[in-house]
This record gives sequence, C-alpha cells and structure tokens, in this order.
Amino acid sequence: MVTSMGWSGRGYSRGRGGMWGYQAPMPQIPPPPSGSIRIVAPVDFSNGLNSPISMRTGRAPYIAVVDVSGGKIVNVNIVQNAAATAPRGAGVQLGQWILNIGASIVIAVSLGPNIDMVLRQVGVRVELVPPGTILGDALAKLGFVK
Amino acid sequence: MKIVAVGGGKGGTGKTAIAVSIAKMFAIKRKILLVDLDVDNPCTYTLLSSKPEIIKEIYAFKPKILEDKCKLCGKCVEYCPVHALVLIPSKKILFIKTLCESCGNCMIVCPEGAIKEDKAVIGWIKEDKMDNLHLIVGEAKPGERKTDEVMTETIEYVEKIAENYELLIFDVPPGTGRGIYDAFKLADLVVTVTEPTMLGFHDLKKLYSLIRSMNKKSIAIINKYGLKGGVQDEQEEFLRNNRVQYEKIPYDEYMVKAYVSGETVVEAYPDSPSARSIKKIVKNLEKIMFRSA
Amino acid sequence: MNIEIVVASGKGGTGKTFISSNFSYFLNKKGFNVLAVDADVEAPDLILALGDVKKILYEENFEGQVVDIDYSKCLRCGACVETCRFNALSMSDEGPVVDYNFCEGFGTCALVCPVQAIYLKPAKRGRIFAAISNTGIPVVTGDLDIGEKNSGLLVYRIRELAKEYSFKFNARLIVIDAAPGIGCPVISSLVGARLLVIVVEPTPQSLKGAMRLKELADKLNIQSLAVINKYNLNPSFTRTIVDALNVEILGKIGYDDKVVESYTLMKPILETYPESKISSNLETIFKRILERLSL
Repeated sequence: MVTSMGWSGRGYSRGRGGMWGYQAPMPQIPPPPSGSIRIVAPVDFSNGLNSPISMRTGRAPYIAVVDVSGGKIVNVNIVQNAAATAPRGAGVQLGQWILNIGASIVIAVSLGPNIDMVLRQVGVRVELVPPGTILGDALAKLGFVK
Repeated sequence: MKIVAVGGGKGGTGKTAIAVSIAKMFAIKRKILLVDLDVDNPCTYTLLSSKPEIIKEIYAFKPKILEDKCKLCGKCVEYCPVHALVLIPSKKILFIKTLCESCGNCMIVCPEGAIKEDKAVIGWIKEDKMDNLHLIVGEAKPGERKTDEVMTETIEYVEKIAENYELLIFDVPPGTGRGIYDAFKLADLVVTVTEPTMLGFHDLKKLYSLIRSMNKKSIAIINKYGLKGGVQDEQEEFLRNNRVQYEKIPYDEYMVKAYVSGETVVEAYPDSPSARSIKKIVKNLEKIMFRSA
Repeated sequence: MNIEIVVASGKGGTGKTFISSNFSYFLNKKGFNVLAVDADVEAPDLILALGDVKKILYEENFEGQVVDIDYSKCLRCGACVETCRFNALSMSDEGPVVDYNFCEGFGTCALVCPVQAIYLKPAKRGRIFAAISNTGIPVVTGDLDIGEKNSGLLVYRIRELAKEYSFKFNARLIVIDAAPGIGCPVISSLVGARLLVIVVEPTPQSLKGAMRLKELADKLNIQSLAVINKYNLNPSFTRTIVDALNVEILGKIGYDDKVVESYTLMKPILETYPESKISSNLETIFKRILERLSL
C-alpha cells in the first residue's frame, strides 16, 4: 500500500513544530544527571520553586522539572507545556514526554485518565497534593528535599 | 420505494415523536422501515414499546502492534495526530483505544510493517419487527467517538434491505455531520422539525445551509407552534424566503402530557389539536410521496 | 482563586442548561459575581437561556487543520483517494478533490502521496466569544461551523477565556454547562473543577450515564452532587436512582409547561415563575450547593 516512505520529514511536517502537523512539540531537555532522581510537577506559572502546582495536569500552562540528589536540588527547569494545545490526547502527549525525559516521580493535584494510565505503565510514582501547594513546599513535605 | 429523512433540533423539539407518529400512521396500510440514527441516544424504541435485538456489530479500524516486529522506533507515536500511541521506553508501544480516530497513519509510517489492521466494536445494529412497521436502530457504544461511522454503517445496511418496503423513514439526530449528510443524500424528501425557540431557529438555519448545499427537496414542521414568546414569525419568514413549504403543529397541553407518559400524542390524545395536525401532515406526506389522496 | 462548578449529565437532553442557567441566575441575585460558561458548543443555548446576547465583548476564531493539494506536483495517481478513511477525497477530471465537510486534517493522504503534493493547513472550525447576556450575567461560549464537532481543546480554550473574564468581572464563581456524555469535551470541562452537579432524569440510560460521570469525577478527585430533573416522568424510577447512584441527591425538579415557556421566552424560570413549585425546589437545591461549598 505504501509506495514511498513520505514520512521522512520532507515538506509537510516542517513549519511550526517540526512534528506532525501544526502542533508544537514538547521542549527538549537533557537527561537527569547521574545519581539524581527527576521529579515533574505541572505548575500554573513559572516562578522557580515558588511556582504553584496546577489543578490541571495535561493542559497545565507550565511543567516544572526538578532533579534532586541526596536531598539537595541539582536543577530546576520550568518549561511551557506544548501539550496544552493538543486537540486531543494532551495528557497522553505530556505522559509520553515525562517518560522520555526519565522522570520517576510526578507531583500533581489530580491526573486525567489517560496520563494516569501512561504513567502506570512504567511505574512512575505519583504523589497527589492539595490545590495551591507551592512546589518547594511539596518537595520538602514529601521528603525529597531536606 | 421512497425515503424520508426527519431531521431537526436537539432533544425536546419532538422530532422523534413526530417521526414515530408518521411511521405508525403510514404503517396502517403500508410496509414501513423506520431507522433510528440517533446513535448516541436512540429513543424511537421507547415510544414504540419495543425491545430491538442486536443483529450486527459495527467495527472501526484499530491498529494492532506486532510486538515481535516492532523495533520501538516511535515513528507511529510521532505521526499519530491524536496521541493514541505511547512509546514506553525499551518496553513496548501502548495503544490508547479511546483516543483512536482510525485514520491509519500509524500503519502507513511503520518502517517495520509491525502494525496491522485490526478492528474494534464501536456499535451495533438492532432490529425489531412489529407487523407492518419494522424498526432498525443504530447504536454507538457509550463514550464512542466515531458516531458518524456507526450512522453511516447503519445506513449502508439499511440500503440493502430497503427495497422490501414502501417507505423508509430515517430519524436523524441533531447536527450537520457526516452521518446526517449520508442520510439526507439518500432521501427523496427531508422533513425538518423545529420549535419556535432561539436555539431551534439557530439549528434550523444551520440545517438549511446543509440542505441547500445538497439541493434537497424539503418540508419544515414548526412544532409547538404558538409557544408564548416564540419566534415562529421569524421562522416562517425564513422558510418563505427559502421557498420551503411548511406545516405547523400547535403547542397544547396534550403534547406535554403525552411526553410525560412516554407515548406519542397521536395515540394518547387522538382528538387533541396537536394530534389532528400530525394526522393532516401525514395525509400531505402521503400525497407527496405516493401522489395519491 | 475562582471556584468552578460544573453541571453535567452523562447523557444529553436531561436539562443541564436549565439547571446551570437557573443556578447562575440564583447566584447573581444572591449578590455573587458569577460567570457562566457554555462548554456544550454543539448546542450553545446557555446564553439563550440567560436572555440572549446583550453585547459581545470579545471574539476569536477557533482553528483546526485540513489538507490541501499542490496540483503542480500531483500525479493524479489516486493513492490519496484510496487511503482516506473518511471519504473526504474523490477523483475528478482535474485531479483529487478535498471535501472540506469531511476532512479531519489527519493527513493520512499526505503520508501516501509519492510526490509529497499534499500538505496541512489551518482551517477555521468555529469561534469562541465572551458576551454579556440580557440577565446581566457574563457568558463565555462558542459556536461551531457546519459539520464541526466539539473537542477537548475547544473546551479548554473556552475555559481559558472564562478565567480571563472572571478576573475582569471579579467573578469568584464560574458555572460551567458541560457537553453531554462522558467524552473528551466533558473531561476537559471537569479537570480542575471544585464541584460536579450531575443532572439525571428518571430513565435507565440517564442513570447509567450519571454513574459513569460519577466514576470520572471520583478519579479526578472532584466532589459530586446530583439533581433529579423531570422526576414526574417516572416517579418510581426516581426512587431507583436514589438507591443506585451513590451520590448525595440535592433534590428533585418536576417538568411542566412553565419550563417550556420560560425556555422559549429565554428567561430563567426563577425570573418568569418565581412563586412556582419548580422555582422553590430549585432554590432549595441551590442553597444546599452553597452550603456544601461553605459559601
């Protein structure tokens, strides 16, 4: 049925994303430094460790990625959540990215059914917190940071 | 064999009750096939006290991943427009059935040929036969996204048996999507049912955009005519401007009573003004469809 | 921080808009600044139930994507026509033609074209807008073009616009009239909400839909409450619902021609028939909701 491998990326998949169609891809970030664990949390705005954890996950405006080692914070990276603009499957797209960047823990207020399923597949640990929790407080309370 | 499609606004306009009334009245003398295309929420059978049984399953394409061939390259994940595929690193490709739109991109882009065509049930065709009136119901699985596909397949099924009947009536759900288009395409006449509310008028205008673009002959029925504060005057003007013949069913307390008791007003209150209008409409339809008195 | 209350039903036609419009009206009369959101974009009647548009404050197009063909490259081989599973392509004398009533913009055709003559482009699918209704309550809603459907993204955009306007109007309470069913648009209506009010009518399908909706809300950690609408359609089944649905039932509302009339007049029944039994039952229910929210 396929007469040529047109998916090699020429022509139509360039433009705003580099990925299929017009949807922006999730940002690239380096893998967690060795010896650290990577924690992800959806946040409502970008203010470092003072960012409030968002009530939404799949379509949260920003995603915080925190690398922790030996109770100390090694990296804090807050990126725009491109999955928020997905017509469908936003939670899945975000879940896929969380797996790709090697995160092992997710802190959120609630998880939609799709992202929940995706994270379960690799046993990503999920910690649910009350709405309005500040990222830094959550990390301390959950014992990731001393 | 003649085909009529009864379309109209969202729940409450009385479209299904009217379609069922028309079907029942024609069925006194003729062999009629009534097709319920409101696949998300079919209710013709409740008005007919019928319990249709499944006669066919409806499928949609779903990909099947052949794990022994899959090299976990992730191309399918990249080209799925709805993120129904997830690459679990070093493990497998996860398929999320509820998001799948059955487009087939994954099957095409897989460089290993590791995705083959599979199918999943998205709905059913049900049937009940009651003397001269036969009922076919298209029903989608709850939560199923591909309702247009369920409608289209039901229509295709019905096309094959249609010649056994003198009249085929489609009860078409509100909207202007694919399934509705397919039903209208086959119809000799489209009957649009509306009510004199702003939403009813909004839906009527949208529906006529579709009907005009398809160049279909149609008749409009303004149900619940005379509703206090209703926009029937504007609707009548709109229909006249579009050269659409229309009929009126007056709003009366009997319609509400019949709805509450789960019957058609023609059965429950045959002498009421609304019931008498419906009978008159059916006589007109008989003339139009069969050119007889 | 605003409080979002979602009114949903799991099955269409149960009277969500009736409940959400009257609830918004009630809150407004009680002195709360409220913003109403219509996430049921395929049947955008919340603003109609609140008196129709008085003034549009803002509007923008909602876009999706569709395919287009570069005929200068096209070989007229027909691979695209054969591939499209939505029957959106057909072959004419000039070459393949796209039927934009059916094109979903998935681009499967683009993938099989041997000369990459097919590309994706944006297309308007509808619009979203913010307006003041004639009852004085601001409403955020949308309208879809012919053949278009609601989606999680569209509901998300509407809610984003609503949040913006809730700040402008200092509206602490947001009432969301969800889409029918339990699909993506409903999930998108629910995430992050504080409370779900399930509207159920006394039919088996409605009860099933309500139970599924409750399951969904549980998973999202959202508190659920229920209202039985049109209970007089089947009083004995109403009792079944009370037993089967594991949710606090706030109350029951009957159905009669006052409801139909109010809807036609585009006014909440609390405005047209404030002394009626239906209105007093509604007020009892709404007062209970406020109690559960500690307001």
